Amino acid sequence: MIQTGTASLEPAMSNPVAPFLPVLILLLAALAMGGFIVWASGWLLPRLLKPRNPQAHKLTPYECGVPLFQQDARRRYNIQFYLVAVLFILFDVEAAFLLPWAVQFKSNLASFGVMLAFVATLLVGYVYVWGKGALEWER
Amino acid sequence: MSFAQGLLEALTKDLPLLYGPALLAVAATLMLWPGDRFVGRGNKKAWAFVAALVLLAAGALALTAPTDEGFNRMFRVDGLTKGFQALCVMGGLITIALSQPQLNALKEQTVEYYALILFSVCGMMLLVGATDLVSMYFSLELMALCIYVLVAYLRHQERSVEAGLKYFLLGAFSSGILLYGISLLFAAAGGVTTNLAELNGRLALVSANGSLLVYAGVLMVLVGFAFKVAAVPFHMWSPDAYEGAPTPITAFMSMAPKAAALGAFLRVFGTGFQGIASDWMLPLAYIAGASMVLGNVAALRQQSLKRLLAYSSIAHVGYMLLGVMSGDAQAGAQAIWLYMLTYLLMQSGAFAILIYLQGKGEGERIDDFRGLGRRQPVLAFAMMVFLLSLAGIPPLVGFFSKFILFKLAIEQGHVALTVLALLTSAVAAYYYLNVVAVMYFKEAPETERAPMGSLATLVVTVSCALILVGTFFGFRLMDWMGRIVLG
Repeated sequence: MIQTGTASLEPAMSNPVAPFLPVLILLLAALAMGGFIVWASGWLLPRLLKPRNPQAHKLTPYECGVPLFQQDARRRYNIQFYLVAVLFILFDVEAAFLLPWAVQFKSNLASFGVMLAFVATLLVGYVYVWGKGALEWER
Repeated sequence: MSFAQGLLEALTKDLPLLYGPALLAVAATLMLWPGDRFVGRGNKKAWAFVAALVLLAAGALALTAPTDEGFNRMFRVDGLTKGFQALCVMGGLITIALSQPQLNALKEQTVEYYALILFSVCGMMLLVGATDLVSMYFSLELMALCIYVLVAYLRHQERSVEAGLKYFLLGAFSSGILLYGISLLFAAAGGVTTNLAELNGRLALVSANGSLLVYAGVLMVLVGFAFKVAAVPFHMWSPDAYEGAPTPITAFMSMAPKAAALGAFLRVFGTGFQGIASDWMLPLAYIAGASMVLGNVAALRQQSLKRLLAYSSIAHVGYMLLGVMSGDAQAGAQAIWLYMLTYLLMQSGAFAILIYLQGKGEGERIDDFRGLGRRQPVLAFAMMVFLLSLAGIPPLVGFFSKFILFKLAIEQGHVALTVLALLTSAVAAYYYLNVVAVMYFKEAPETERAPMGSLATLVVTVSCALILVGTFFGFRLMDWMGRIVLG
């Protein structure tokens, strides 16, 4: 009953994955290229070019004197960071919606109105967030 | 047709379909801003009345909406939509009523609580009418996102926050699986449509020749939905989320989102993917059977009534999935709707009593019900009615809804599963009756009686009365549910 692929279908509904083949090729090419660059710059070129002068200090994360983590690296971060991140995503998505609209926009009053309504909805959210004091770092 | 004309047509023809949910969204937004600016810190309680009125109005608008399809075939109003929308609104109203004692006692009354309930009911109302996988997904997310926040609402209680985080992580994960399944189906159907009816036709063609893509896609969609209704083996979040959430929200989660998700389940599998039924029927049968067995067996060992109700709701979902598997979508929808309606009555009553006892600092553990029959005979009697009805003991309405569902399943040829359902119902009777026995036959230290809130009394009285009255009408209920007409 279950077989792999859809090769046996009539041409009209031919393999639906086929149009994505160029994407796969591009992906493989990108992987190969990326792998080569990493290998060449991290292993091959240093081996050919760099001077060999090993020192213990070079193995530390920061050579410039900043002390290493003395305590547990798992620390509590200010909750404000998360809040800002969430709000950023919210308004970032708004911008993501605006872009395709702006590309298609041809001085059409109706579509302008629709986008205005969308932005107005987000504006209410913005005012709410502001009123709650979520945008103030120090409280 | 120009864009302006199209917009005009959408406003005049399509928008009336959505007056109910639209009212909820607009009202909730206005409540948050600027509404809340004018309400003092001590008067936030008033929002409960506003929210209840808005819910009532939205319910009335939804029930009177024209029967039609709109928004580029993304949303459809028919008997299924209206019936399940009514259930969601009822769930929201009951939750607001039950929330009052706890929110007042903890001084946690805020406008956000009610706005979140309205937003999530809005998502549910959209969900049951969604006839396109995209509109379905986004309304599912609207519903779920609000509930994640509501579960973690008591943010000073570790338990509540933990439950919220668990629910959120698992919910987000399951949404991802669902979305991936949708994208696979979209690709398998040639990448031109996500409309359920069109998708069904195209997928049936592809699937007839055997396609792993369709199989994988429909399974992932099935997994996503099983997560949302908490069916085994995708139920792991539900006992923890139910236990940690504020008890009124636990009641909410076991009523409204479940009704909405089952409505969407019916829409997607019962009526939508009929053409590829052979791909999902067997996995769904396993999910339903596992839910019945595990839900009921795990409930046997619970000490906390909240967890007991969580596991038993997993089992009830297992029964209701029998209706989704029915080849006759209309009969399945009617049976599930009736089951959900009676389930909603029984759950709301049981939770009202649970919340009352919790307000006195007890009630979560089954042991806290010791001697309730002597201390508060009326309350204990109501609790007994709810529990016996949940167990499906004749002649209470819980029996009739189970009977209709099982009869349909046998007619459709799911005999083995129905036998399993009957056997596990017998198991279920044990743990429900155990609570009754604890109430009546165990002695308890004398404690003073606290007054029960008027709203909670109302909920208990109404649901108990409806269950008892429904008992005398039994099969007449079938005429009533005949109104859930598809199409």
